[in-house]
Amino acid sequence: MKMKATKINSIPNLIILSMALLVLSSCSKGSDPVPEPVIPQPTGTVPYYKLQRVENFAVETDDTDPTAPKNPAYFSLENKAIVEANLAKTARWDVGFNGLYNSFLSGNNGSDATNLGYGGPGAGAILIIEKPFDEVTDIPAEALFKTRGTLVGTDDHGDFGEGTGWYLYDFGGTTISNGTYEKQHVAYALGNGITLANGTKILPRTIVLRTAAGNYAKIKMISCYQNAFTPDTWFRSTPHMFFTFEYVLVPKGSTKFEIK
Amino acid sequence: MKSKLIPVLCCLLITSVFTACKKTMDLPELPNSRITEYKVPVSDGTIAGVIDESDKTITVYLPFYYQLDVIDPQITVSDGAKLNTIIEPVDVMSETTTYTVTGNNNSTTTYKLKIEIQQLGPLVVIEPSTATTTTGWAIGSKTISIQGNFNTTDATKIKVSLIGSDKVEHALIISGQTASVTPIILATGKTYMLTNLQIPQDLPDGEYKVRVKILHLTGETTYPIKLIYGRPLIDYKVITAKQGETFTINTTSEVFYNFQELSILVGGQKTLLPIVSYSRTEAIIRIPENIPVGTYTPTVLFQGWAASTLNWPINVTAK
Repeated sequence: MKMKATKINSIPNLIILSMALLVLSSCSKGSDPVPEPVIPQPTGTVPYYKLQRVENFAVETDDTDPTAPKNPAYFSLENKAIVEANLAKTARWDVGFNGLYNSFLSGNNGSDATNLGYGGPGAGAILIIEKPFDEVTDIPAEALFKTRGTLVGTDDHGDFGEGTGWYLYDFGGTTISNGTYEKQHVAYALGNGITLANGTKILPRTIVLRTAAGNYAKIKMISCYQNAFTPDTWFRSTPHMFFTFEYVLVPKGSTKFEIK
Repeated sequence: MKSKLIPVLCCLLITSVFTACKKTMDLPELPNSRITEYKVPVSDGTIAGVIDESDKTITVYLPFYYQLDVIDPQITVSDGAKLNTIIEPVDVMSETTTYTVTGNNNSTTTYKLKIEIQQLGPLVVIEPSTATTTTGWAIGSKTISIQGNFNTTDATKIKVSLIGSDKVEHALIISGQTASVTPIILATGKTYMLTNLQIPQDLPDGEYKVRVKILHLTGETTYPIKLIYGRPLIDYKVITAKQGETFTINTTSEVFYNFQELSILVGGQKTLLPIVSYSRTEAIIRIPENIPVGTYTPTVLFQGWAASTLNWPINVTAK
């Protein structure tokens, strides 16, 4: 009897043992997933904290029909290179040039319907400060950046001004100079500031831009004339629009502009 | 005794059955030359491509409202693997893009990219003509408009062509600088008007259907339009020529047809300047030697149209 009772009681024990074996022997734990590498985009060849200079970046110009809109132009500060128009809705450019004589600058922003990059992934924006390039050391607050397209161009101290701009347009030639024929219709870049004919000093302008990837640049616009970089060499017949500018990039999250 | 062993044996059998199939039955190992993630950055985040390992395709479902011309993807591959080419932007209409990945064991896998643009269809073009009235469009005109449910304000995305008896698509000229698209609300819904298209100056007159393409959608009119010769327009040009010499005038819009005469007033008298030759886009005019030196305002006459005085001068200088 004793033996019989032992055998009957062993059946539930066997079932429990079987279940335990089943659980322990089923799906063995695999190894933890290893993070997979993201292949970086072929952008960002320009090093941070180094002064860059771009000379004679040419855009479409037609003096016989000056008010007709021209095809926008695109430039990558991250790669120091011209970008084709078919890449407008990508993050591969940082500064857009359009509007009158393609002289109005903007950042690359995919969320603003007025921006050349609308629909794309660009996170860029722009602003302009009345301060010399070297003295712009703090990155302005985010709220001050603007995402609109066709934004920074003619300065109010000249003709057809639209706020604080990077250049002063002298229609009659008398705002800056003596009004001679060759000094009419001249665009004066304000990267170094300028003194008006009436003696008023115009402070230098510096553009601050958030790139499409979210880094920051400050830009000094030097000229829009070919191989002519100072006001005394700018005349109505000097070949234009050839942008010359200097800039420095600092990474996303920076609070200061530094040149090392 | 024997019958009581049966449950025990059953338990052992069940255990052995459930534990038999384990590590020795692993699925075939996936190659390590895989694309594991394909992402397309857009204005409000990213669009994930669907990677199908069974047919080695990557499908990107791209909503049309982003109005992208290209996608600029971000690609992740298996640990230790690499793409054989650098990542370039891809035209949204591309059907030939592939990516080849080489694994760290030198295995390779090639994926084909498929971009499915999610557009609302069908594309309906509002008829310029009716069953009883055929609209005439002037050859060379730059002011052609076409309306339909284009769902875009980007003029460069709307491809308009004329289909004549030759069944060939003759593209209307569209310029991103002058063409524009304006939304118009009709009782039947929202439509879009594309304006400032140009009829090519070399197209023959006759009847044509109008075909519109927007990415993968195509719409075509039921009724044809008719290409006709409109009133020619001459490009503005200040002419300076010597007595006895010729000068050229051009048109970049409505073409020359049945050019009858070009005249000036000399001493109050209408004086013809002979038309040496002309084509649809250019005419060569001669200044007679006896025309006095001076500045004249020309008047032109094309058959079927009233004479018109031009707004540019002819400066005649001494020979």
